This record gives sequence, structure tokens and C-alpha cells, in this order.
Amino acid sequence: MTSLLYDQAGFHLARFLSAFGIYGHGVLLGFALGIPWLIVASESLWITRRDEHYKRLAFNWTKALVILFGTGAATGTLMEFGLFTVWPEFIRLGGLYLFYPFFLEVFAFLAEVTLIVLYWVSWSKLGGTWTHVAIGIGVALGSSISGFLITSVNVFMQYPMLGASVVNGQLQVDVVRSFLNEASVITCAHAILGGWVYAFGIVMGVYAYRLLRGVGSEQTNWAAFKLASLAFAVPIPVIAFLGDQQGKLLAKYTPATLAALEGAYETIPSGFPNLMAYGDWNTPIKGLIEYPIDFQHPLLYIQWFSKIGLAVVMGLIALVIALKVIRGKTISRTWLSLAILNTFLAIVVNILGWYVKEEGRQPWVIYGLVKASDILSPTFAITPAVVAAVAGMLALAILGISYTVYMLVYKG
Amino acid sequence: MTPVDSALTLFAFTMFTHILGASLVLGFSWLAFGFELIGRTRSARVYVDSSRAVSKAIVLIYATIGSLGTAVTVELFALWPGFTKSLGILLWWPFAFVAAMILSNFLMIAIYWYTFDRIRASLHLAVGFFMALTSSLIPLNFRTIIAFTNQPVGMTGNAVETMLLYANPSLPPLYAHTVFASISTAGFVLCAAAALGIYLKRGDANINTNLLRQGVVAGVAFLVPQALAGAWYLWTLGGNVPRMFAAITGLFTTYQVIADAQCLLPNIFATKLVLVGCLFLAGMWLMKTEQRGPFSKLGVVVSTTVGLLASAIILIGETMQEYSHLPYLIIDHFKVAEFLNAGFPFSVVGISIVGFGIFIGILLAVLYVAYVKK
Repeated sequence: MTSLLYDQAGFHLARFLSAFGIYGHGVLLGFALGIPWLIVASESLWITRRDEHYKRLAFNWTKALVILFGTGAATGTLMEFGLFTVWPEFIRLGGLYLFYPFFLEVFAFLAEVTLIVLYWVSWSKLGGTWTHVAIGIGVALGSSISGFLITSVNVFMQYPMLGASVVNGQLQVDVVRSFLNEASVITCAHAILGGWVYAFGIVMGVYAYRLLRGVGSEQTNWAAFKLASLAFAVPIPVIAFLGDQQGKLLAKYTPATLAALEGAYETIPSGFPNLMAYGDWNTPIKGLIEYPIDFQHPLLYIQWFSKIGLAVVMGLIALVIALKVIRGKTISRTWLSLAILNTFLAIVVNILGWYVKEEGRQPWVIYGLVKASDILSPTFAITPAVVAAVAGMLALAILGISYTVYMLVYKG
Repeated sequence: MTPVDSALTLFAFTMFTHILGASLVLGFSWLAFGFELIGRTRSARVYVDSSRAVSKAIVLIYATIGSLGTAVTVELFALWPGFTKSLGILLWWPFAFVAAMILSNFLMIAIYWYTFDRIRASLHLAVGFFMALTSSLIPLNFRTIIAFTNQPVGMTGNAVETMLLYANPSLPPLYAHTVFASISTAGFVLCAAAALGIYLKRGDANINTNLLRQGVVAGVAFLVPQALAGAWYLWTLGGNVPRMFAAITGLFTTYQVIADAQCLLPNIFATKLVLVGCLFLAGMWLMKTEQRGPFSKLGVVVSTTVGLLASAIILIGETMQEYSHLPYLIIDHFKVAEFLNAGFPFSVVGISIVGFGIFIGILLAVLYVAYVKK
């Protein structure tokens, strides 16, 4: 019994460690996805309007990006080692069937490193030219491609039926279709745009705070706030559309997860959810009780509906602020406060989105094929080194984010 | 080329480039700490400034060549997925330790570089010491893994006794050789970079002169224990891993024909010995010449050459280490061919190597522009 409890504790610790490591890394990745586009926009505005505020913003955001990228690279290495030692069978499967996205990601990552260094060191000579902007676009594209490739691995875990099948008890995988398919395009686009919104939201909140507290140059703060709030609002309708498309993917390939998200314990014969999922009012959504126990998540709808509700509130606030900015109307202190609220909403919505996706797949690592409990390393144990690694990772994530937020808030 | 050859070539290319960068980070870390220690205790500002210059180089190497560590991991599990799984299960402890050290080292490097002249000197020195220490603890655990692949001490069935990993007879000489070689190579590379700086009139002349002088002293001084540790390692292999000893030296005829790729190893070993001898002599010559006065063009050429030579010796050593294992990944247990991922597209290996080469080339060009042309 003690052994069983210990095993259970070890399994849950392993899951916690992996989730913590991946999300810790993901928090930094969100910045790496979004900040380069803000830098590019800011430098372009500097060139076209000859407004020095945008120059300062582009330069300071580049510094923040370099720090975040370095921190992200370090946590990424940790994450690799974590997966390697805790879920070695997953690494074996990844190596066998998902080498294309991993391999291509290495090149995208190298391109990103090279272009970030190039963008940074060429500031004094090329800053304020379209060549420099082009390098910045390269950085932004590199991070988005990198994000697509890594997220496509996660999509395969969610939708293995699009590239894998079991023939005579053997797993057979189409190595290209496993990462390039309708689900990967829709889901990765949703995740990347989500990362942008998350990063833009934090920048918007930081400058709203600076404006409210009167920190730094007011004109620079307004320039940054307006730019970030517009960037924040633009992808939201697209994200909503892609979210709807993801719902249709669930209906098509993993209907048990759809039922869990709708909170459908029993079959829903007709209604609005049916219309949203199947495009038909009368196509039934099969209830959870009709699926095997391993596919049931009876409480997941709470997080899902919380996410949707918060996202709608966030989207409405963002659209109103964006309209005010476009029309040149005054942004009152109330709306600045709401912008700060929106920052937190963006973070919570992002976390909830990933939580629902990951928890909705459990207990499977690869949906319907490989269970997490079956692939935990037999030698994994709770040891001081593991605890130290977790503590170190936490320290690094906190340091990286705190320092960046401090830089943005007090140095502009 | 067979798939095995392609796999080994791709892995070796990425791994060796990464190892060279990692060795420089290790060596530079101790040199940066040493320079600052001398500078603070003797109140010699030029040493402190030299340390600062080296710390910048550490940051850049860590951020660039260090990034190839990700490529190494991806290649390992894409080329030998089953083997990687076994490594994760058997050797999870040293891998976890490495992860913790990489994290600590990253923090220490960033803090050391950022807090130069911003915090108390004694505190900064302490950070420098921990930066160097964590830089050294990363290879301690990687070398533990390599020593295990030489001779899987502590393995019974599918389990490993963790503490016995560190009792592997080939670990102490291998690790000692790694540390000494890293510091020696870093010294010679500093010497080369400083000589170029003096010749091209780039950077601070005093700092360059100091880096050149101290670099060559460190290079020669650590080359001696490096050579001794190398001999100790070879001696240990002779007693414990005769297959590797045979492959490297060409002795012990029972093991001679192992794989085609190993045929050249004795010649490569002989070349390495000659190059080490040349490096030592060139280092001694530089030390004497440098004491005599202004640097000649020949001095610049020799200085640049010793930097390249020391780097080449590191790569030769790694080649010998990897190829003397053949046909095994873990000697007498895991064969290279058996665990190779048959589904991997080996036809793209050449493109991958060219791709990596282009990126590394662009990166070096960018760093050149940033450091030399700026």
C-alpha cells in the first residue's frame, strides 16, 4: 500500500513537473512570439513618422526580448532534460515518429538566434532602416515558425488519428502528415495568435500602469499603450474564429472531449452547441456516459466555460479600447484600469486554454494510444536533485519575468 | 555512405561544434575569475578589464554555440530513439544534475556579466567563482555519462547503481583532461583573439596585450597537466576498456578490425600527439617573443595559429573518443546499428550539415561584425 501511494505520488509529481516545466517555458515563449512584432511595428512607425518615442520603444523592447530569449533558451534546455529523464518512452516515440518537426524546429531556433543577435548588434548601424525592419520580421517569423513546429507535436498528441494508426498491434505513423494536417494548421495558428495576445496584453497593461502612476515619459507611454492595445485587439476575432474551428475538429475527431467541454453527461439531441459543433441543429452530441471511463472528464466544462466567459469580457474591453484609440478619443483612467484588468484576463485565458487542452487529453499522452501512466520512467523518484531542479526553474522563471516587467515598467 | 556513417557524421558535426563552445565557456569562466582575482588583489585595473572582456565573450558563446545543445539532444533522440530512452532510464541522475547545473550556470554567467562594477568586488568575485564552478560541474556529469558508455560500471540488468557511476575508473582522468584542456584551449584562443585585436588596432591595446600575455601563459601552463591527464586516460583505457585502447593506438590486434571508420584512428592519434607538441613549442616561443617587446607579424600569425590548433586538438580528441567506441554506443551493450532509427531520412544528412554550417558561419560573421568591426 505504501509502495502504491509512493508510486502514485511519484506519478503525480512527474506530471506536475512536466506541466510546470512546459508552462514555465511557455510563459517565456509567449513573449518571444509577440514582442518581435511590436518591435517591428515600433521601428516601422519610427521610420515613417520620424517619431523618436517609437525608436526608444523599439530599442528597449529589443533589450527585453534578448533577456527573455536567453531565459527561454535555458528553460527550454531544462524542459528537454526533464522530458528525457521522466518520460523516456515519449522521447523514443518522438524520435521515431516526430523527428521532422523537432528537426526543423532546431533550424528555426538557430535562425531565430542568429537573427536576434544580428538585429541587436546592427542597431547602431542599421537602426531606423527598412533593412533592419526586415531583420526584425525575420526574428518574428522565426519565432512563429518555431512555435508552429513545437505546437504541432502537441497537436499530434491530441489528434494522432490524423497521422497514426495501429496495424496488427503496431503503431504506424505518416511522419509528414503527423505534423502537417488540418488540425495542426488550425490549432497552431490559434496557439500562436494566443501567444501574441498574451504578450501584447502584458505590454499594454504595463504601459497603462505607467500612465496611471505617471512613471516615465507620458508621450512614450501613450505611444506604447496605443500600439499595444491595437495589436492586442486585432487578432482577437481571428482567435475566436479559430477557436470555433477547433471545436469542429473536436466534434470530428475527439467527440468525447467535445462532450466534456459542453458538460454533456448525457446525449444532447439538438440545440445551439450542436449547431456550433456540427453545423446542424439536430446532429446529437453524444453524452460522456456513452464513452469508456478513460475518455470522460465530467468537470472540465467548468474551466472551459470560465475561459470562454473571461475571453468574451477581455475581447469586448479590448475592442472598445481599440476603437477609442482609432477614433482618437481620450482614454480615461477607468479604461486604463480596465486595460490592466485585461492583462490579467489575457494571462488567465491563456493558462485556462492550455489547461483545458492538456487535461482534456488525460490520461492519454497520445490520445487513445499511449497512456501517461504507462510511460513514466521506472527509475524516476522524488529526490533532492528533482526538488532543486524545480526550485531552480521556478527561480529562473520568476527572475526572468520580474526583471522584464521591472524593465518595462520603470525603464520604459 | 551507410546510414550508420551518416548518423555518426551528423551527430559528430553538431556535437563537436557544441563541445568546442562548451569548452571555451568552461575555460573562459576560470580565466575570467582568475583575471578578476588577480586584478582585485593586486589593484591592477587591466586584469579586471580583461576579465570583463572575457565575460562578454562567455555570454556570446553561451548564447550562440551553446544553443546547439538543443540540436544535439534532438539529433540524439531522432537518430537513436531507443538508446536515448535507455539513457534516460539508466542515467537520469547525471542528466538531472546537468540540467540543474546548466540552469545555475546560465544565471551565474548572466549575473557576473551584468553586475560587473555594479556590486561589491568581493561579492562579484564570489559570483565569478560559482560561475566557473558550475561551468565545471556540467562536464563532470556529461563525462560521467561518457565514462559509462566506455565501461558501464554499476549496471546490473536494466538498473544502475547511481553512486557507482562516479566510481568509473575512466572518469577521473577523462574529467581532469576535459577541464585542463578547456582552460588551455581558452587561453590559446584568447591569445589568438588578442593578437588579432592588436594587429587590427581594435579594442583597448592594454587589455589586448594583457589578454595575449596571460592567455598564452594559461595555455601553456594547462597544456602540461592536460597532456598528463591524457596519458592517464589512455593508460586507464588500456587496463579497463581494451577495445578503445586498441582502436586509438592500433595495438592489441584482437580488436583491430572493428569498423571502417576506426582505421584512421591510430594515425589521428599520432597527429594529435604531434600537434600537441607543436602547440607547446609555439606557446613557449610566444611567451619568449612576447617578453622581448613589440609583436611582429610572425607573432600574430603564430598566435592565431595556436588558437586554431588548440581548438582542432579538442575536436580531434572528441573524434577519437566517439569513433573508438564503434561498433558500440555503450561498449559491449548497445550497438550503433541496432538502435539506429531506420525511419530517419538519412538522405538529408548532408543538407542538415550544410545548413548547420551556414548558420554557424553567419553567426560567426555577425559576432565578428559586433566585436571587431564595431
